[in-house]
Amino acid sequence: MAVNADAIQAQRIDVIIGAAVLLAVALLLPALQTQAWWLIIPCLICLILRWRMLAVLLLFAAMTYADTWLAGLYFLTLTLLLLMRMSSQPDADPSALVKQAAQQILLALPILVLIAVLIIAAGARWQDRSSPDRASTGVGETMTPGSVSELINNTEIALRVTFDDSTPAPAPGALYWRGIVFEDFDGRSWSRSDRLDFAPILAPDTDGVHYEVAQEPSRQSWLYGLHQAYTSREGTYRDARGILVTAEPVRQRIRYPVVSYKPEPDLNALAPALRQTNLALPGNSNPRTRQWAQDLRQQYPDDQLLTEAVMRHFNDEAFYYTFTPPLMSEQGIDDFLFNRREGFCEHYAGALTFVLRAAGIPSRVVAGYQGGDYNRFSNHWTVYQYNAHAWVEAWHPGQGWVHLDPTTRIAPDRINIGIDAWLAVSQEDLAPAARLRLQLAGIPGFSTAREAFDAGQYYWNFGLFDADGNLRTQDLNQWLENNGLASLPVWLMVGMLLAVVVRVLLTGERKPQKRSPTVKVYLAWDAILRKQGYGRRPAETVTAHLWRVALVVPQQAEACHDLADQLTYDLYHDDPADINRIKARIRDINRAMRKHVPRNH
Amino acid sequence: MDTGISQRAARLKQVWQTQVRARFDKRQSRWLARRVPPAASVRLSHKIIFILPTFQGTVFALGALVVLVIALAERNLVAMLLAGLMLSLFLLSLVLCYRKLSGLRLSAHEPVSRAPRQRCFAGDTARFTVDLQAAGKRRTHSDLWLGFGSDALQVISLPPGGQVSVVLDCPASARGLLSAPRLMLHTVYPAGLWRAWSRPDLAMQCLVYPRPLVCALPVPNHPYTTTAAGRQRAAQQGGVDDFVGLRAYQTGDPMRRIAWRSLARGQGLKTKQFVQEAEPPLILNWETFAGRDPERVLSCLCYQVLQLSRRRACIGLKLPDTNIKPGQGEQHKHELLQVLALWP
Repeated sequence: MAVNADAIQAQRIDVIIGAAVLLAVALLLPALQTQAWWLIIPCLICLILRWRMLAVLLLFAAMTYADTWLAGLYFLTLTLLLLMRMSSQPDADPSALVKQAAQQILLALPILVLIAVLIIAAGARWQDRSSPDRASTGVGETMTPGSVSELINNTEIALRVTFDDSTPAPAPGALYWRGIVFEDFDGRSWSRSDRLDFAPILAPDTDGVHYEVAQEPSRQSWLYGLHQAYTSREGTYRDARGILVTAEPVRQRIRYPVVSYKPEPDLNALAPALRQTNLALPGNSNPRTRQWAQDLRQQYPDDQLLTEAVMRHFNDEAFYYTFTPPLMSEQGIDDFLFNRREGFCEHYAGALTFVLRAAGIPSRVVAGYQGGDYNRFSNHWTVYQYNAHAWVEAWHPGQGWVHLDPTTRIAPDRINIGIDAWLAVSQEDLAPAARLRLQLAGIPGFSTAREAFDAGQYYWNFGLFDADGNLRTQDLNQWLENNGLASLPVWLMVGMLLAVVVRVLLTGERKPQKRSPTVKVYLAWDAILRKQGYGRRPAETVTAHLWRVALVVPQQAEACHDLADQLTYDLYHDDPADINRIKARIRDINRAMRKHVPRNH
Repeated sequence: MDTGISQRAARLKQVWQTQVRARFDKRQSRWLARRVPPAASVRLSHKIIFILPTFQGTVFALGALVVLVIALAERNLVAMLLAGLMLSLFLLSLVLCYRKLSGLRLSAHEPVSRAPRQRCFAGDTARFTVDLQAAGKRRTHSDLWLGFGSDALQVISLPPGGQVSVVLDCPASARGLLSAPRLMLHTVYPAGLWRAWSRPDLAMQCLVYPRPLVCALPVPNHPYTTTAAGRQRAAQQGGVDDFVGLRAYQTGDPMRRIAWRSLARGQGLKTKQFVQEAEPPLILNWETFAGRDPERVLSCLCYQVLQLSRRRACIGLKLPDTNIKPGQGEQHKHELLQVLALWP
């Protein structure tokens, strides 16, 4: 009776647990859509089949894709199941297994806190997955003196761009890949305005330059394009400043089509708020520059003439273009314009913007990449991180935002021929990797090989991954969608999870020990004997058991004793006993039992 | 070709087992003897518990580390926490696994002596009893595997604060004093990521009698009988034992005394009863088997002792340097067998 009650209790617990898991799964459904189902489903299958190691590896692989808290919860459930599966007592009561696994997770939490504290203390940073992070690769969220020039040693690829055959590609000097616009200046660094003004996409009706950009993961949420760029990519918006912003940071290699139109004169007046933003300067910083700007203003009332005068100033005076400038003092722009006169593109762009703003011309800094290497094999442009660049846009009434690049006046080679050409003559202290790159580029045939390798990579990426950087499974997805099975993977994941729960909750059998055939024969016979009440008792030796059997069937006492001897010999020796003899003995004993022992014992 | 390779492989395997492996085992056992000296009772502590990650555990930890590095590189907080949790589970597993063994007290069921109570015949299995006592009132020790050597382990569970006795089998191949091999106690609780083990030696012993070897029984030699009464009875009786009837079986009755036939007839378990006859004492003499292999001689003597004591004969024993006076009864039989077992 007590056993029955226990069994009912256990069944009730099973039902409760099952229902709870079902509820949790139902809650998790929306979050699962984006999860790596191609890893999770095999992982669940492995859990059912008890392939623990494979399940562990698949679970770990899938974990790297978890980036929402709901997904984290789902993985926690999976971990619980895995722990139940890995338990060293698979025969234990299901509720005991659940309890044990939950206990382990709870006990692990303090250690987790400790690990997390250590990781944070070691300097780990993370980002809210919905907002971009400042310390990501490539052009950053802010621009301080040195932030662009430090990319000169970075040989990673930033973009690969393929121009449409129908439209001629612009000249290398005109390849300004706009990324981000900096409007806020705090005296030292430029940062982007927090507010984004999403303008409705109204692409002009004229012919534009069509091209496709393949962007490496930057973990930032802006895309790159030439002037007046529009993209039809999903989840991407165009800001009023002309920058392309994605809803999700770029975590994979994505591709997007872009159309750039010819800049047309903007006859409207600048919106007052925007005008104010683009004229703002931190109070009483760089007084000499402000004074100089006032002087220029008095000299040139016209905005264009004033701008041209400043640009000419960079050319006429002894300014130097270098990516290892001396450190600037507090009044960085005064120091740069009147004392040091050495800097990289971000110094010139920052100084020009400051001067123009001080003179009352709305202006802003634009950061992105400039130039790129043309690949003859695959007809695409490869833009590296060392192509990072910063330039200026100023508002001229009647013209709109005008593109200004002070670098063209100081180091025109960098723009017109390419940064490598400028680096080759500049004779500056490069990092070993960058120096090696330049030296290798001098070897005949190396650049061809590099191009060929790059082209191979380009085609590889193109062939294997779709526009969102996922493995090309869209054919499968398309087929699923066409057959009304779009959410099949999710339901599979859910169904499998339930199957695992059921399978784990049902007590499993322990992996059988390696046994000799003789012992197997004995064990099978023992199972039959147990039903009749003569089975081997726990902690009873085979010999003692068989002697007990001999008491039941004295007619075959000799057979029992012989069987005991044979089995004992088999257990403790390497060479197996004669199995036929053992089987014959068992047959004899069985026959005697059938004949002499009443059935209902 | 194929046979050549397999032969060579077999030879290599043999060399490996006999030379490399054996040498390693020898060194290990020497080291263990220093580290874990034999004692009748052992409390498992950090000094004699060894713990290492299993293959699964290694893969688990490395996998978790890789996920952690990827999560750190991608600045993915959720994945970072999940990987951290996996690492924490791995580390926690170490503690839980160790705690399953730590504090457990193992002791031999009977004290060490020159004549241990455990006895068996050569070729049979010796049985040793080990007592396990939990570390504390609330400590459970479940999922432990105990045995001699690495194979044929038994699963053991101790209730909270409880005690359990485990019977372990060990083959007894040669007569003499058999010392139980080192115990192997291990556990992979809770998830098979770590394996904690200990090799205590409880100095358990078992006396192994020679294996009985069938041979002719000595004829009772009347002139040697010593007492007058014995002589008289010997003159009167014709056979060795006189069967007088059956009585109900009592626990402890020798197996060979059981009346199988009456049991087969369905008359219940009966013991054959014989007349308690006094017999002239028989002296089993080593010299009877002069010139034969000493081990075989001892086996034959063992058989004779067993057979004759079953017939309640009064037997004495004469070995080259030992002399046992004739006697009767179960205790005397064991005394004789012990002498045979321990004969140098």
